[in-house]
Amino acid sequence: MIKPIHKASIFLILIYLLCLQSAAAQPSKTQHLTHFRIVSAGLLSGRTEKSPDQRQVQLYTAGGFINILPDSTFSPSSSRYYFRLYNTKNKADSSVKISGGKSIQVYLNIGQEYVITLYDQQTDSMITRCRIKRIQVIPELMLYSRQKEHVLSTRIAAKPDKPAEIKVRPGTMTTIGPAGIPAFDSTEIEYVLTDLKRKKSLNIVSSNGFGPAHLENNRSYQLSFRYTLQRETTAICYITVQPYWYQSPYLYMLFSILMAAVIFIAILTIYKKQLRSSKAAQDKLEDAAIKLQSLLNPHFTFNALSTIQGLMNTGRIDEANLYLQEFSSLLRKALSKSQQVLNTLDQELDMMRLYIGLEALRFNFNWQIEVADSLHPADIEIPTLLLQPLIENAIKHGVAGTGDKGQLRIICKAGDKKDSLVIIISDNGTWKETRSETGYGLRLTEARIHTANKLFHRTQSISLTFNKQSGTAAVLTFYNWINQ
Amino acid sequence: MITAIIVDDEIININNLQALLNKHCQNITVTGSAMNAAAARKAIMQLKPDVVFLDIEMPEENGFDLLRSIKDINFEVVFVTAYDTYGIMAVKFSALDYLLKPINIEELKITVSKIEQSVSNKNQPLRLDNLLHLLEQQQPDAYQKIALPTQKETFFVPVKEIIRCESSNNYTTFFLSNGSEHLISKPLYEYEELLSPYGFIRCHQSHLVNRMHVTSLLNEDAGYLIMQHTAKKIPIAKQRKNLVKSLLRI
Repeated sequence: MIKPIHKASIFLILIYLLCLQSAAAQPSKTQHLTHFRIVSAGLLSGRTEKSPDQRQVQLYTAGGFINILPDSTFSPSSSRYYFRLYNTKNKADSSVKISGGKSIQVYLNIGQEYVITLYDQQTDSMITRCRIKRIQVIPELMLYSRQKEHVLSTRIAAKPDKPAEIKVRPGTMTTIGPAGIPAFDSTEIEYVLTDLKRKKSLNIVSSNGFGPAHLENNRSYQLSFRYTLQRETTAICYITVQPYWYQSPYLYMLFSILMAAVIFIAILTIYKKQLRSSKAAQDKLEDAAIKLQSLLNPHFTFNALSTIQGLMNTGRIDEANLYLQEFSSLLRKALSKSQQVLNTLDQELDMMRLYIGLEALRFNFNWQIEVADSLHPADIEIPTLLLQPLIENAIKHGVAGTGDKGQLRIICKAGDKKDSLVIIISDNGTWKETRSETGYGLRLTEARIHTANKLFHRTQSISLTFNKQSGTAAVLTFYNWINQ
Repeated sequence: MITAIIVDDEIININNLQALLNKHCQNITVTGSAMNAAAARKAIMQLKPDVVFLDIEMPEENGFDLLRSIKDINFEVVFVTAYDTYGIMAVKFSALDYLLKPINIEELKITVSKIEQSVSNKNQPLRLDNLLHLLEQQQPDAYQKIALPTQKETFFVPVKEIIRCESSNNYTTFFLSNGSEHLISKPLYEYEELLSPYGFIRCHQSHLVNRMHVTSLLNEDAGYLIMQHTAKKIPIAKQRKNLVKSLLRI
């Protein structure tokens, strides 16, 4: 009975023996010389050169070991002949006595030449001499890549110190084998194919190549190879299997750039949108600030407070209370409406009534607001506090200095054009253009009209003109305004 | 007894100031009033008041126009205004008296008592000249003069000659390029407001410097400014350093 553990070791021994046999299976070649012959697996018989008298022979071999086999002239007791082995490079000289019938094995260095001389021991005369050189050899391989019926062959021309590089198209089956040098035909070659990405190697020993094998696309392999009989010389070939077009690094780069561009544009779009909406919000805030600023400007505010103080200090307490109420009522309305872009005409006119009432108390002018019966002021919307700076100008420069002769009229009516609304603010003053504040209020109003016109996308629009005949009239025309 | 007239285009304001003066300032009598510049000229000619309470903002001719039209101003002027950015700055710059509407009773009392003691009428013609000159110029200009009223006299100093101002409580010391120093009984912040349009920098709680006289910035501690004509290191407050640098355009 054989125990299982022995089974395994026996198996290993079997493999070892097989390997030995395969090594031994290398066909040996023999060169016959006078009184002896040289046997070696790597002997290049085809290149043997002989001198005319056949006493000098030049041999070439690839393998490291040669066997010198004396022939039958060497009887077991004979000691007539001896060999000398001379290394031409390092000038090493060694005598080898051959006793009858036995062969000797000699190792040769690559690229070095040796002289084997057979001497007659008694006369010390040379009987025969052979020079043998071990040459460096690398297998010359062909790579065949097959895609369906199409076969592409490439010569792998590697040198020991210079790896070859080969590119293989994707999706092909690869076969590698000897290129068929006559001298080395069917000589055993050892291959190591390493997947450089996975660091996995495949060892192959074969005399007629290997394959067909499928090599992974978009991957590099290292193929190192040597003749079994000259393991000292290994050549390397890098095989790169090209990627499919969709695996190409250029495509990846292009794709990445494209992705980046798409993301960039997306971010930019979102950012722009946000910017626009925040700009719109800011515009709205600014507009609100302008509205409040123009109504509750310091002149108006402090003058109103001064008027209240005047009423208090002259004993007109009821009037002071009334004025204070109206002032706070206006302040409250203006603050609550200032965030709105549009306000109904009736509410606007209410606010203006309060405003004009307060100013009339200071300057004692007459005033009236007329709304045509055809209009429905509760249904019409106009930009909040748009009228205020125009009324302020009419008061300040028109009727402030005229006392009770002053007349301020505000007329709201339908315009000549269909669906248009006209608001006229007229006074009978002289308008001495003295201060730049007139311009400031007007500039603000014009800026607000401009903003509003942009907001309405040209379906609706507002225009402002001035008429100077008896006094001054500011004419606001709102186009396409009613019944919208 | 001091006589006064009130010039204002609003009757309520005239009545208001009159009522306040009657109640709070016994030594002053309002002998007349006017609601425009023409009436004011007539009233001044006839009544020869000691004081004119003058509203700056009036239609047609304003308060300044009225003053320009009078050759010999031999009365005290107290400007009264609700709000006038540029005009009131010029008034302050010339160290003239003013009241803001609605009237603050305490300020009214102080102003009137100053007039009673004839404190502020010294150099008033010069101050008015300075005011009218300033009003003619739209832009701040380093050659414009600021009135610095001390106990004894009023100095009119071109802004460019002020090297720096230093605060001590409610007083401000002015250091001038000719080496003189003037102690003025006004807090530094008032001068900061007046002088910042001329490139003055408040580098520290107690220091206001004229940018054109800064020669170097010393990077010790939070920083110091070195001024022309003086060896003193003016400290920069830590939290003002960036502001100072930006104003100096470093």
